[in-house]
Amino acid sequence: MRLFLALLLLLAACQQADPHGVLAKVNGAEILADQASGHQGLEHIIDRELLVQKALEAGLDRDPLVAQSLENARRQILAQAWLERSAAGSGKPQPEEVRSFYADNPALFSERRIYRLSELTVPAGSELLDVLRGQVLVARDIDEVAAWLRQRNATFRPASSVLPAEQLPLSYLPRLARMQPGEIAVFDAPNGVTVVQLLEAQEAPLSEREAAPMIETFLSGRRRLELAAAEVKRLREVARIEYVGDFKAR
Amino acid sequence: MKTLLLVAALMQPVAPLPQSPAPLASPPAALYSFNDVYRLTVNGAAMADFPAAAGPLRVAVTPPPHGAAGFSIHDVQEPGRWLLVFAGLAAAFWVARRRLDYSF
Repeated sequence: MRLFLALLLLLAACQQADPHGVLAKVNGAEILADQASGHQGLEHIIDRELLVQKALEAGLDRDPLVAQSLENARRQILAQAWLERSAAGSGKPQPEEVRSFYADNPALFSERRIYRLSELTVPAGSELLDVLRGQVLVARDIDEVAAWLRQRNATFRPASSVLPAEQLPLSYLPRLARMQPGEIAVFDAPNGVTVVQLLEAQEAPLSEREAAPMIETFLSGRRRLELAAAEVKRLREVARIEYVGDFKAR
Repeated sequence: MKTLLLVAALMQPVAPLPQSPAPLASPPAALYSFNDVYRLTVNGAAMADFPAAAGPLRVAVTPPPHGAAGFSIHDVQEPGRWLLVFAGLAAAFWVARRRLDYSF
């Protein structure tokens, strides 16, 4: 009797937690714990498994297009895995690095501001661009610049925005950080220029303590990118790459 | 910082700095903000030198969750109408040739 009870208990224990981490079985195929997280994730994996089984039954893995996609995916995963391994040793940034990044970017942290801006985007190709730069120097406000553009039938798009420093283009930020309310500046944009008047700037500094976790994460990411880029460069240097056909003449 | 601007990617959204609503769309690289660079750097970024056909490669600080299975449905290209007509004619021709034993 005791033996029977012990066996019953053992059976119950086995049913509660699978020692191999099997979460479900789909037509006999096991879904393991490391394949899915959460109930919804498991349901998705079950759906995928059902589709995979039907695809294999139909012999889709022998279809030339599918086979090519599978090979591409395999190569992509291998390349990704090597890149991850190359970047894995980047480590955590030192406190001095974090401090230095904080100090080197006052506009983002210690002197961070929230900017209220009025903008006019003037597209490229306008013959007025050079004259516009001169006009901005003498204009009292951006409305005067807009009126000047209207008089000349120039195309432009007005806009206004309230943005913290970290959301402004990095190429604009050093200049914007020095500007005083009321000041107007012209910035080069990919498709023309943007005339910006600073209407108001609200001080919103971030202390080093507040910013440190974010800077650490950013520096870690940057180092991983640098290591990965260096690895690709190194591999290209040591490899023998031969261009063929049209690419030979490059 | 400039090297990072070369990194092109379309990755997941990131928790921005305090008081920063998420931007609506990715700007051109020349207008990247610190938030854009942060997003590309931290959440995994494509290596700029890799060809687009190879797919983006990431070196994310926080790897994407595994086990996610998303499906999309595309139109399946079917044989054109004329291809089917010619296939039918060819079959009829073959049957006729066998039955009548013509030597054409």
